Amino acid sequence: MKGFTSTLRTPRLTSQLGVWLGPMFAICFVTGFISHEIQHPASWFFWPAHPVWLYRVTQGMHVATGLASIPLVLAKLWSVFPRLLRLPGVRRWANVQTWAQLLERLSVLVLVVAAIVQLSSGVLNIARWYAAMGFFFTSLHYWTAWVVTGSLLVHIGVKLPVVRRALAAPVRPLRRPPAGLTRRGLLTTVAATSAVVTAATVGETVRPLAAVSVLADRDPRVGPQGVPVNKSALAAGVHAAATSPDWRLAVSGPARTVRLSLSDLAAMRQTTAALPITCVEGWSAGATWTGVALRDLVHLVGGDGADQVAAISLQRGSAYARSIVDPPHARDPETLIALRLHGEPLHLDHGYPARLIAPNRPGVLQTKWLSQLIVGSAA
Amino acid sequence: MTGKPEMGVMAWVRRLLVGVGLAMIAFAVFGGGGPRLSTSPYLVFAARVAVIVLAVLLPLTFALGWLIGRAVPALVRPVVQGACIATAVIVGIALPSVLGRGRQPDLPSALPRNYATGLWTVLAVVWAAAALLIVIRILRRRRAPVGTPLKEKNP
Repeated sequence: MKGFTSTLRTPRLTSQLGVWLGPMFAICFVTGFISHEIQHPASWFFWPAHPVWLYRVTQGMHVATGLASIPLVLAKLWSVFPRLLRLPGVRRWANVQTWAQLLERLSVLVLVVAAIVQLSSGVLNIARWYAAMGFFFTSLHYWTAWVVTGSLLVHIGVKLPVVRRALAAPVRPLRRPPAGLTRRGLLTTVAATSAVVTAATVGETVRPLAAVSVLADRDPRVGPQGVPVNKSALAAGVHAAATSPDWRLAVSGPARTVRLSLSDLAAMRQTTAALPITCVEGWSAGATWTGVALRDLVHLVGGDGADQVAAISLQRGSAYARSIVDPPHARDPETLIALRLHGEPLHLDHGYPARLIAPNRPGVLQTKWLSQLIVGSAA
Repeated sequence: MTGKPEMGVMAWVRRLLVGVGLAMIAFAVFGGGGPRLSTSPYLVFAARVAVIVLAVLLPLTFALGWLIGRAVPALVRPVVQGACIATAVIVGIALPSVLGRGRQPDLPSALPRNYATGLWTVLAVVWAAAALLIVIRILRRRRAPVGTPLKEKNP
């Protein structure tokens, strides 16, 4: 590859970028897996109600780390680009001597494409440009994460001796010093770019940085009642039903079913809790919610602390119109059927007349515009 | 796994990594993700972004690097290269927000900022830092005895 003259492309540079990228991809995978399991829990999975900020931290890290890894991925692609172009001809493919060589080539191909897909679809998703993808992001992001991480592990397994040699070898002055950036200069540039990208976006969840994060796709200070929303009442098609004087919340349980009006709910014991609303897209905002503790409603219909609750919305035709509140959250005193936000009645876009708000859960599970609660055995 | 036979812990670590990696890919393909990963919208998107990054953006980067190598004086070249790299990455990440295709009239709290202004602001900070570094390099060069090359840290 005579066209590629940079003396910076060395196994050491590529290995160093890989050493940085590995932990970042691991953070993205683990935090993304946690988010997936909270929404689609396996039988073995347990997610606590406390600390209330835990999901805010894991999902904030997921998006921030994914964005910060983009400069590193591009630098790593740059560092190996000539090798990527050195594709084997038909004869060389036929002469692949070991399965390791075949695995290496396939894993690199899969890793490169899957990583590009994963990061670009993530950027499009937080910018809500769903039409540019043409597929349901959540599901494909999850499955692609398995492919990215799996092919990364295969790649590390195959390349481990090269990486160890490259990192252990003493650094010698280059025979021909680079005319531009040095290796250290390039690594500093990549790290600085990641830092700038983080500072420019992380304010969507770290409120003190909201004013600095001029590229953040959300501002935790902006929205109805000072809190962002992800779905409006208009888009959900619930305006008429939610504002109807006939609205009732049906709560059914082992002993009875009750139908409660907004004034019935307001007449019950009110609890106030400071809980963040955290979106899977990485933004979050703290807020003060007031309403009826869910466990009070569970007891009202004959349930107990071992029961789970299905929260059902007025919204129709959405995957997020129904959510399950597992026992640890259902019995938590801070899990509310909220009627008020920051002391005022809920804005229609925040789920008026009543919404679920529970500690340490993704926003998509904080069902808005409630119509029904079903209390039943978790088994 | 390649070259001379390798024994000991490292060989087993490598086998473990490859085995777990293959198991994860197999889980994605056969554990429920296969039908979704093989749908045409997903494959079209994958092909499109791979071509954009590998066949358009990276070659453009090389062309720009080549141009900088010829047009920018050696003294300030590393700083200009670094600032150009940062600019390209930041523009790429900010572009979907700047274009604003995800905006909805009923949802003013989504994409609430002026992202074009935000992008210019971030780029102004990057290039201000670059200008500062260039001034420092020029001053260092002037203070150095004639004929002394600018000292770089070990490359």
